[in-house]
Amino acid sequence: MHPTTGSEPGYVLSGEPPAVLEVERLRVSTPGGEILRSVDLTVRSGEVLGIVGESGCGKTTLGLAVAGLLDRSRSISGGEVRFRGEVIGAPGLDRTAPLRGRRLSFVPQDPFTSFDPLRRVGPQVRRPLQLHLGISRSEADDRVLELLRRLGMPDPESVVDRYPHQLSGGMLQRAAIATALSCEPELVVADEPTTALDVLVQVQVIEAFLELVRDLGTSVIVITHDLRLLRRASSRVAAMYAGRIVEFGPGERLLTAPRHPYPAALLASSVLTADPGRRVATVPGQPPALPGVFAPCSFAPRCPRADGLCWEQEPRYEWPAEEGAACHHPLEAT
Amino acid sequence: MMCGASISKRSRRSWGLRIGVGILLFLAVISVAAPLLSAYDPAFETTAGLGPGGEPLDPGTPGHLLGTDPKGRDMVARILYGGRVTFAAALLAVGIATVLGLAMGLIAANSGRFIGGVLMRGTDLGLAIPGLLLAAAIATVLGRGVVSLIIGLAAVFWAPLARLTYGQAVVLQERPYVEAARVQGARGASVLVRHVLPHLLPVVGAYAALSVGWAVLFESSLGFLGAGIQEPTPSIGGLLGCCLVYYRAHPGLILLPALYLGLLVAAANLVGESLRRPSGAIP
Repeated sequence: MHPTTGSEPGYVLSGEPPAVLEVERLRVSTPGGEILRSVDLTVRSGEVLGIVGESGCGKTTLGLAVAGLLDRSRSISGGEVRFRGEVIGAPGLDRTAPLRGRRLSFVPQDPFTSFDPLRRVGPQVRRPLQLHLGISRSEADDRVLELLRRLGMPDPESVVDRYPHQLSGGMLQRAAIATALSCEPELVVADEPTTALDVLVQVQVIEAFLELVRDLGTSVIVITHDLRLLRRASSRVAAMYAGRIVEFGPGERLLTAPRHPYPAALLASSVLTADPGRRVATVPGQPPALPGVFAPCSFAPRCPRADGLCWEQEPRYEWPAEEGAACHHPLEAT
Repeated sequence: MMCGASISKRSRRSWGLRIGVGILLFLAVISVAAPLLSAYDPAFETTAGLGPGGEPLDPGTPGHLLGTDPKGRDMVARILYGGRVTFAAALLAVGIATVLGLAMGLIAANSGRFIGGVLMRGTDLGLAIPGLLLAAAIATVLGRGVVSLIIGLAAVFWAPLARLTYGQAVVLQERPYVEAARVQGARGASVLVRHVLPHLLPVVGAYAALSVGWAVLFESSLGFLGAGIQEPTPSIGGLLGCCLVYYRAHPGLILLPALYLGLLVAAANLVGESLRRPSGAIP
């Protein structure tokens, strides 16, 4: 069992910064079945945790479940989510509402659709400040300008008076990040924060974002399939497959020498690591659809290392731990 | 994706909207300024307004530009004041219906399955009853007059607006920026007012403008049938109803109010249609 369930919540291992968020055996179900199948996760104060995996592995569902934003068709069916030691999500329980926007916020995937097209950008960025901190409009405006400036927004004074369609994707995403960080939350969930942007802008935006969260001491969960982004950003990484975390560990290690064949295959198929002129490796097959029925090791059907054991017994890792891989035949550390 | 800028841009190009709004403004101005435009009392019956044989005066008679009716009342005054009553009643009724419909639709779209279901089945009921019949029944029960006519028309026109609002609101609430507002910690009603209502207005506005045209026609039909606004209050429906028997000898008595009616309905429809097209949501 988890060591933090006792009287001293919020601390995982001695010597480590306190945990902001603990996810324990979290299950999320739809009427058709489970789409998150027992996920364990800890986010520590001030760290950037990356979650990587193909589309449809449950990354986004995890992010939404943490923030209490699951839609009506999905709900937490097992386990719990704790924020600073307090349970905020469990089956039939959702205590995220008073936290959202203030201590816990969300950076949307697509900035183009996450601003109301009929309202100017400034008031929309300013809104959480007014909602939660109850400060005056002019004071909030000053803070918005300050945030936008720190995020590298060109000419913030004129940007706040414009409508969303008058801004570029990079500017809008900066504005969306400013909205999410305006109340200096303790945890930000960023769900593919740069996928809607072009490559050059991606780098600028993510650099600005990381610098700001570092300054504010905000913990971040970055959900992405962009390994390059993770390498730049994360202190720790978790790889998800078929609604589960298959490997977790320090970013430097996991993104260079993964143990589980799935992140290894993702890494091998990345254009970054491929030799110029050679074919980029691909992972054969498709990730399984969620909800679904899986082999004991859900990656076995696509795994080059799978054998009979993988089809009989479910691989597990120890939890809590600093790193682990749910694999019977992990790759050797190099 | 529709946004405000493109609606106003396209609408600016639309001549239909300009002409419609122009006519409506013109009619509104002459309605308000009726006492200045005509010295006659529209309800004052006098033999001074009749010919030597007791017949109504024809249009073009000095002192009575559009002639008089069989009771010697000046037709200019009758049409101006009658139009004023009809126009105002239609606007008021549709105004009430719009507020009611918006409220019903938004509440239904935001409440759970049960309350939403009850409200929308109520709306179905409202849609199922023929409008003219409902308005006539309400006018009969409450006693014929301007107030009961307005209540009757509002009772007819709220239901389609509620249905329209509900359908649009359900779609709009799924928009990511509405979700984003909730994520930032904004609560129900403020999200609706800030991020859903403004997007509803073009569509609901278009439907309301079309409804004004229909409401005017309803008033005229009821007046014509005798179930609408009663004498001595002049109304377009009343004018059409009272003088039908004279249509051979004095066609102006029918044609002139009918012309006013046609102008008003056409203008309301032009406005509604030109608003509807860019918003693209009403079938």
